[in-house]
Order: sequence, then structure tokens, then C-alpha cells
Amino acid sequence: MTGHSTSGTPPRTDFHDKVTGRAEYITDVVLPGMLHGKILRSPIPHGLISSIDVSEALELPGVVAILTGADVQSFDWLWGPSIKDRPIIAIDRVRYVGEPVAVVAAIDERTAYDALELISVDYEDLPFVTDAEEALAEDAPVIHENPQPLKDFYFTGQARTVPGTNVFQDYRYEHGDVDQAFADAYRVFEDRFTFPMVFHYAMEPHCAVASFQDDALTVWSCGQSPTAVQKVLARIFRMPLSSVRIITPFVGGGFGGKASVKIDPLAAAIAWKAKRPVRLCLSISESMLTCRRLSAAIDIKTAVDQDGTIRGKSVRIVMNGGAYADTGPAVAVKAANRSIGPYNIPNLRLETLAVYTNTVPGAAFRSIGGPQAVWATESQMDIIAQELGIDPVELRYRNMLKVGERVRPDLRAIDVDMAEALGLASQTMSRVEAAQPESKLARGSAVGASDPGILAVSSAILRLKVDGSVLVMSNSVEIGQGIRDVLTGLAAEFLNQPRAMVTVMTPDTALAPFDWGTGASRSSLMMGMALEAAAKDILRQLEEFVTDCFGAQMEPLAFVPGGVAAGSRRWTFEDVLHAAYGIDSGEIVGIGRITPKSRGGALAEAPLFWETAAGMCGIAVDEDTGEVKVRNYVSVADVGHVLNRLSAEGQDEGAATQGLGHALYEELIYEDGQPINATMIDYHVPAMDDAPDSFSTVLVESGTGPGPNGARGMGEGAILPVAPAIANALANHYQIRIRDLPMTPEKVWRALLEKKVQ
Amino acid sequence: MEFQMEVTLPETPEHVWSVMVDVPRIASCIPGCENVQEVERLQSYSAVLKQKIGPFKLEVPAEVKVDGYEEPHFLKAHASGVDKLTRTKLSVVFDVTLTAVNQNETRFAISAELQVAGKLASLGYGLIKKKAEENFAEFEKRIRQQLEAI
Repeated sequence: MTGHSTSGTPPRTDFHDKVTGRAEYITDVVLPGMLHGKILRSPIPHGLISSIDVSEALELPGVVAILTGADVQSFDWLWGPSIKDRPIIAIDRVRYVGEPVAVVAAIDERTAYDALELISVDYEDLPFVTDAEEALAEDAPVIHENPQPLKDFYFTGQARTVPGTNVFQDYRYEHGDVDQAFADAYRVFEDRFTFPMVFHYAMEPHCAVASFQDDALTVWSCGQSPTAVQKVLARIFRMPLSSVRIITPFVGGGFGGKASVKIDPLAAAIAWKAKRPVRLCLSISESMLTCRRLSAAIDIKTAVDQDGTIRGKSVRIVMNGGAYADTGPAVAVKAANRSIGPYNIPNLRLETLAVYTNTVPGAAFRSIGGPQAVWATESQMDIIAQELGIDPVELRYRNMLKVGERVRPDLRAIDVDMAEALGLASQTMSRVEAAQPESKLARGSAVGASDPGILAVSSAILRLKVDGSVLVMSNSVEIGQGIRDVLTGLAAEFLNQPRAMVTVMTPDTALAPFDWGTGASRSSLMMGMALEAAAKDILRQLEEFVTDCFGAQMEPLAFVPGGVAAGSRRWTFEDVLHAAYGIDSGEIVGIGRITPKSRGGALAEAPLFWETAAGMCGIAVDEDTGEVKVRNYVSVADVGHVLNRLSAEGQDEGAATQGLGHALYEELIYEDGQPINATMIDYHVPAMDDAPDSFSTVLVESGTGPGPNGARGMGEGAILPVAPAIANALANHYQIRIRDLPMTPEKVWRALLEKKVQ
Repeated sequence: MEFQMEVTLPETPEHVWSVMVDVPRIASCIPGCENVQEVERLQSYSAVLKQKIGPFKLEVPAEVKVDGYEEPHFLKAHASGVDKLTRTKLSVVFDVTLTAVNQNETRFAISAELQVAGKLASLGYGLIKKKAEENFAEFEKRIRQQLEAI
């Protein structure tokens, strides 16, 4: 609950190294003979490469190698996590401003950068399109002639492309009789909302160090999914998976922008060409040209009874997926599902089209597709409430699903009490406002429900040493969310050993077992379950040793600090291993493996759990400038069980604050095919001054999640309600309805002006 | 970036056309346009465009190709070039239409689409757009002076 003391939370295991600068990030990796790579990028949105001349650049002292499309054609050079549509490097065609065209490897960054100026590339311009709805037109330039969807490659299933068009995902779902519901309704509401392209802005830009040695490839990757990076590289370079090793040191933030695979193929290819290790670290502006959230136009039509009961709903979403599909097909599906909300919709039709355009590739971003969808759904809920004269919170209660009821028949029943969450948000906001008697703020609220796209596949290894120390080996990536600390705490708990005895290893595919990846709010609970299984595996082996060495025990064996006990009998780990091995050395290796069939198949149904959020804001508006300031914000999330309170609250606050970005400030703008604000000078992300004066996080511990002690995933939900809550506050208090994000001062000011004129 | 300009001039289309294809005169109307050479009349020209945009000094050798014309009413052309220092690519497609309003007046209309690609586009698109707008305004002013002086 809010206000819970964090004084009892031990400091996170990574904090000391991070604040003292000792934590190793990829940019700190130095290998013998390592070169530095710099990328020459396409300046045009769409065109054919007529010629590339690198001769002058190669003559620059210090330049060792230059990679172009001509070099990679002996490889399986087309790749993608969902659709094989992306070359390692542009071959004969560029599809967006920023697409890599050449990579220079030189003895230092300055030389590599200077060499870029000496590369001459001639292009033949092709017609381009940067707007998704224009890309759907019959005469729009087709950006990919024959994209090849992959089945069960990174996500289960496969994208439904529409050949001959720019549509790379055509997702449709329907239940009930939607048209009849519209025909019979008391009122039908039709609204359109738009959501901009926004950048992830992880503090650490994309980076990688790659090295080919002895027929093996090692990449220090910033990827959130090391095994996906390994798989893609193995396929591209036609190598056995066991010869491709991915090491993932601390990563300076991801938010989905480092999910699946990004620059690793390029880093590996230039290392192959240079025959030396190469460090490829992008600038933040280059990261802005690497991936971004899919923008969306959402048309939503809802049929209601006079009392506000929803009878039917149809949602059509057109998403701008950029030049390459990346994880966009999954984003499209999730956007559809997340547009439903935690409501009972007896007649439902969903349609999402994700479309290629000549823009930076769209990709997963914190609660994929969720903020786009919830922006529309929750804004419209308040529109309906206002039109029907019903309190907006009351309208939500009237339609809210109870625990055990289903959003769709084919999805897991809702496992969170959303009414309780919304009630807690109101209660908490009332307390905050009661402490600010002078304050007159506009209040708005929204809720969100998302179905995390979790593949229930994780595994971990625990190595219990003779001295009672423990190594945790997993491929869960520390991207700032605190997973290493969570794994430390869980390993200590499951083995009943002091935290100080536990060390979590850097993710390394050569050492740690397979895991799907770090994202979709999954790592704490999935890896937690794997650790629990690994601890049981160790206990099973200890039981065998104890029985063999000390005879069968009447009482069950259990971990105790420093060893094991059966009833009143106790043995140290050294006692057991010494007796078993004959010397006082050794270890016991436990492996924990979770699959959809684990726990009697209880993990097979999707989603693994529902991640939900209720948000409520109090805003002030400068009516002369239109500037919106969020003064108070309350965020409520049922996290099942808090594993680390400080980290949990930090993630919740971080998600909501990130939501302020697309709500009020952020938008990647294209003009004439050019991204014209893709620098941190022109692109504003929320700064400390933009954070709410009062931020209250309420963490509900229902204990109903599938993870350790009933934990469920978290860290994404809080981003969902922010934008609609602010828009609803504007509508409630100022009677203006903003439908296009971000709600910039100009838009708000113009809306206020228009209202006054009316 | 799209630009449109339209002005009614107190001359016949034939007179206006004669000024328009007089290379030194028309070049003098374009801010920063230097070293204009006629490679082939009404087919191909070369020039250097010099511009100061914010902190950047651009020097763009450009080739101008005439895509088609119908004397004295219509001309369509395109030009492109790359700045040596910033590698910024400028390309423009434009068409000029001369329409007789009456016996002594001509409507002179230009429609142009300017593309900017490269570092300058990502760093200073706003500056470029402002400069281009200023240049078109200046061009309009100068050509009006030229044509009114016929």
C-alpha cells in the first residue's frame, strides 16, 4: 500500500557498482585489437543505391575495413524477428532516412567518423510514403514486394501479410453480433484518436561489441533477448547456435527498444569483414533512427444502453510500422486486445492493420500497443459518460469485469479486481487533495488492462558450492529494473541462505540456459519460478546424498542457513559433499525449467496474468499558454506480491512518467520524408521539472499471480492510463476534448480558444 | 517542402518568357546563385548555389535539367546537388506556367517542391525551411523587378 516504508528494503545489489562507476556496460568492454565502427546512413527516405565508392575512405590512415551491402550477400542476409524483411545492411535499396548503408571500422572513433565523409553514395530516388493511411492507398509505393513471415520464430504464430500492399499485419477478431448491437443501441459513439511515433530514450544508446575468433562469434549485446540475438546471428552467418555466444552486461535501459534484435547483425558483420573485434556504439540520435513506438490512428465505435451498459464495440487501428516490421506484428495484435479494456463487451470486433512506411522501424515499447489503444478506449469512456450524464468512474464500474470473467472467450479470465483498483485510486487521490485545501485541480481518471505477451518458457541454473555460496546463472538481463537483485533475493529465499552468499552472474548464452527474453513484465515471475524449480532440484540431489551417506531420514529434508536439516538432524553443505565426494570440495548444480506444461499446464493459457492499472491525475492548466502541468498523480497496480518495494515503486513511477512523454511532449515528426526532430535538442522527454509534485503508488498485493508468493509481472501497466486521464481531466474541467497526442500547449491553447469562441 | 508563387505581370507571355530563358537575368533573381552556365539551351544548365543557413555555409554545385517546355507557356525542370562539406543533398522539381490574362498581362506561376536530405535536414530542417521561404520571397521580389523593367 502507499506509504509503505522502504527502510527495510536492503540496498539493491547493483546500486553500489553503478553509483561508483564500477558497473560494466558494453561501452566499457575493451578487447585486444578492437576497432571502432561508425555507420553511414541513408539521407533519403526511399531509393535505389546506384553506386557506392569507398576507395577514398579506405585510404584514410587508420581505416581497417568498410562494410557495404556487397559484402554480405554470401550470408543469409535477410532477417527479422517476425518477418524476414530486413537486410543486415542496405543492399541495393534504402527504405528510410537513417538506414545503414556502410560501416567503417577504424582504429578509433574519430577516424571512423572522418572516413564516413569520404564515402560516396549515389541514389536514385523512389517515391516515398511516411503516413500509414497514405501507405494504404492503391497508388502508394510498395515498400516490400514479398515479405516472408516467420512462424513461431520469436513470437508464437505468424504475421498475416497482404501481398502487393504495405500491410504486414492484418489482424482481425470478432465475437457476438456487432452490427446488430449497433442497430439496437440507445446510442452509438464514434470517435477517432491518434497517437504519435515516440522514441524509447533509454539513457544508453544501442551498442554492441562483436568478435569472430576460431570459428566462433561472441557478441557483447545490449539486447533484452540474448537467445533471440543468438538465434538470428546463427542463422545469418550459418553457424551452429553453440558457436554463437551472447554476453549481456548491464544495460542502460531498454523499454522494448532493445527487445528482439537490433544492431547486433551489423556489429557482427563489420567484425567479420575487419577480421578484428569491433565496437559499435551509437549516439542517441542514431538510436532515434533505430526504432520507435508504432504510431496509430484508432477509430472506435461503441454501442451503449441508456444506463451506459456497453452492448457492442468495434475498433479499427491503423499502425505505422516503419520500414521494417521488427516486432510490429505482435504490437498490432496487442493493440487490438488492449483496446477492449477491462470491460464486458458482449459483441466485439477488432481490426488492426500494421503498415510499412518509409520511416524508422516501429518496435516493441513498454506495454506494446497498449498506450495507443487505451488512449482511445479510455478517452471515449469519458465522452460516453459525459453525453449520458453519468459519472465517468461510475460508468466504468457499470461495465467492469469481475474477477473470473473474460474479456474474450479465448483469453484467460480477468484475475485482478479492477473495481478495487479504481476505488483505491479515488480514495488515495481524495487523501492527497485533502492535504492541499488551497489547490483547485482538474481531476481525470482512466484504467488499462493488458495481456502480456509472455511465452511461458524460462530456465535457470543454481550452483550451490560446498561453502554454501550460490551462483545464479540466467539470461535475464539487468536493464535497470532490478532483476539481479530480485534473483538474489529469490535464490536466497528458495535455498534459505543469506543474500550475501548469492551472486547473480552476467547473462551469457554459453553458460546460462535458454530463456525467451527480458520484457513483457515477465522476468521476475518467470525466472522466479525457474529458480524455485532449480532449488527443488538441488534439494532432491542433497536428499540422495544424505540418504546415501547418512541413511534414510524420517523427516523431510529442508534447507537451513549453511546446510540442510531433517527434523533435529543438521548437516552443513560441506558435511554432505565431503561425505559424498570423499574430499571437502564440490558443488551441486540445480536446473529449473518452466514450460507451458509446467504446473499441470496452468501456465499454458494466455495471458499468463493480466497486467492492469488505474490512474488518476490532478492537473493545472495555464490558460494563457495552454501548458498542462500534472500536479498530482495516483497509480494503482495489483502486483500480486512485492519482491522489492523500492524497485517496484520505481518501475511504476517510471512507467507513468514515461507516459507523460507521449501525453504532453513527445512526437517524432516527419516532413518530406525526413525525421526533423530526431535529436535530443529538438525532442523533449519528461524531465524532473515535468514530474508530478505528488506521486502516489499503490501496490495491491492480492497474492494471485503465478509467480513466487503470488507475484505477477509489473512495470508496464502504469504507462497506460496517463494520457487518457489527463485528457479526461481537460474535458471534465475545461470542456475541451483533445484527440491527438501529444497534448502540446498549442493544441490545448487552441482548444481553449475555440471553446471560448463557441 | 512545397512552394507556390503567382504574380500578374504587365507584359505578354512572349516577353516574360524571353526574360525567363535569359540565363544571366534569371540567375540574378535567385539568391546565392552563381556561376550559371548554359550547357545546352533549354536542355541543361549548371550553377553553384551558395547559402548561409544558421551556422552552416552551404556550397552546392547543381545540375539543372529541363524536363519539358512549351514556349512561351510552360517549362518543367529539376535540379539537384550535394554540399561538399555537410553532404547535404538538395533537389528541387519546379514548373513555370505563363498564362495570358489579357492582351497586356501575364499570370506568372511557379510551383516547386524542394527536398533536403542529409545532416542538415536532421539538424536544421526548420532553419532550411525558413531560409527557403525567404529565398522564394526574394526571388519573387527580384523577378517582379526584372519583369516590370522590361
